[in-house]
Amino acid sequence: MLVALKAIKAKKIEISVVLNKIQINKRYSLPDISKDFLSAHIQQKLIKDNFDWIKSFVKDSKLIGGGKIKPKGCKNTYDIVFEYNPNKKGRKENIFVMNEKIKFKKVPHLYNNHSLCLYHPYDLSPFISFNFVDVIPWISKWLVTYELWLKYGVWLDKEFKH
Amino acid sequence: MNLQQYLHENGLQREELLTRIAVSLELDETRKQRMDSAYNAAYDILKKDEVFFSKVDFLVYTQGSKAIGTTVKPRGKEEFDLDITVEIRDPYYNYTSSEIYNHLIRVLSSSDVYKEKLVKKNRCARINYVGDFHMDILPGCIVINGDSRIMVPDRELSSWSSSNPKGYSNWFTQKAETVVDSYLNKAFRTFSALNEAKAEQEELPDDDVYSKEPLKRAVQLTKRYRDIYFEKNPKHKTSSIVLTTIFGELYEGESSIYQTIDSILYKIVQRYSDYQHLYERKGVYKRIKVLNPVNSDEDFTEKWDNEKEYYTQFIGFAKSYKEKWEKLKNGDFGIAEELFGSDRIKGILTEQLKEMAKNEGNQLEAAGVTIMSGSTFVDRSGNVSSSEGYKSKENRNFGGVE
Repeated sequence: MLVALKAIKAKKIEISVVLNKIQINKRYSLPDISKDFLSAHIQQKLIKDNFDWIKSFVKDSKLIGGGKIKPKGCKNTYDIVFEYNPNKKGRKENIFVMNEKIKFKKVPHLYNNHSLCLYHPYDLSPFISFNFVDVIPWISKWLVTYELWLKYGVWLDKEFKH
Repeated sequence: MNLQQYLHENGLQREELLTRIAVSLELDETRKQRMDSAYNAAYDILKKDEVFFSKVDFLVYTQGSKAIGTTVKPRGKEEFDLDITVEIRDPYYNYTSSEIYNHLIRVLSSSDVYKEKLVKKNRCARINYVGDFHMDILPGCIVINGDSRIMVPDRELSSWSSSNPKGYSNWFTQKAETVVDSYLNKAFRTFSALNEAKAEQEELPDDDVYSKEPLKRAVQLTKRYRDIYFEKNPKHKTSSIVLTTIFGELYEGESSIYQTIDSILYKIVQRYSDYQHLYERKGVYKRIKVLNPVNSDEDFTEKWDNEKEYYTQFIGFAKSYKEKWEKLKNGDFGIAEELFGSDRIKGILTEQLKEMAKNEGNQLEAAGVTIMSGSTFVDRSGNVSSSEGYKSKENRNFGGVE
């Protein structure tokens, strides 16, 4: 019994020595097991499988990417930059068009940080998780609709006005 | 090149869009047919009346917007009213006013078809086709041969009162015909002529789509914006007869729908501020009056004297309309959504784009048509396609300025 206790005590000391060595409490926080590390990688793969115009990388469980795009019919080429953060509460993506003219209040369907409003939150299912790759085609649709809007002044695609 | 392309290249896209909006506001064919048959049936039943109508010479004709080609579809639960005149070709002094009215009521109430639907009004008999439309039948007698004026029985006065629906229709129609060279009609005709020479013919829209005069189209559009503007204040809604008359009066042969509305609104607002000036400077109060063009003793805006709110609201409407119309000048069709309803404009613009997309050079329009079809794919390079690539899920753009 005593031997066993001693062994446990020794083990504890041993563990604490090891912990001290790697200084886990000092240099790193404990891993957050609720954090989603996987989604960014899955979305990166899905995007790569379907779209050539996007390059992306994963950093800190976020997917960051972008590329140049000129949907057929559009006059201009657009520089797109996006960030997808599966661990963010609420809206998980920000998609920016790097263009002087595309600014909130000057162009419809932008958020106040100038990122694209591509969907209405009410239209998403509360039961099925958000699939970021589904947003990518909406960028093309948004750009075509934007150029038509410049030409005719009417936002043709379905919209939710407020 | 197709018609749409041709009009676009001749700077007539806005004019064509306005025409399409006005056409979309017209009553649909089935409703027109139902009204025509109601109108014909009324004639038939009067013709069969052995007591009175079969013994006199009479005419039945439409009056109001139906007669002058300025009808618009009612909005929501409103019903359309069809006004018809039964003109007895015999001088009024041969009868008493109640005699004529009672003969009409007698015939209608003895008919199985009409007796349930009949409502007696002051000057007419109303046939109520519930939930669809109502037909007001106004009986009257001529004054003298060759004069369009008629005398109609007025039950409240138990006497005759003067009316001139035919004169009004003629006045308006003649005004509309003073158009100097309608741009759109001219372009349509030139295009049709060019197209006839070709072996391959595209199907052109009905002739009357483009031949209806700008003044009539202008009145149709104005009535719809009036409906939208007064949606929350129906009490003070400016009546169609006032709008139609003021437009007819201020029209000076403008060649397009756009110019017609533009210059008439300018004149209304200008006149109002001139009168305001007069009042501020000299204390003389004057207001815009809309007189019956075929009977200047009758002021259609009589109640604007005692209930000024009607006048104020009319001016508010004209100013709001003018402000929006000026934006349309710059080709901002988005404003048309506020004027005539968003869904209507999107639908019409999509129709225009469909025509334009037939030309291979118009890839942006083609992409727009694909998006509007609801079934959109996006290929590896980010091009919108109707069949290839990643299927776009349904979405609605949200937020931002509107």
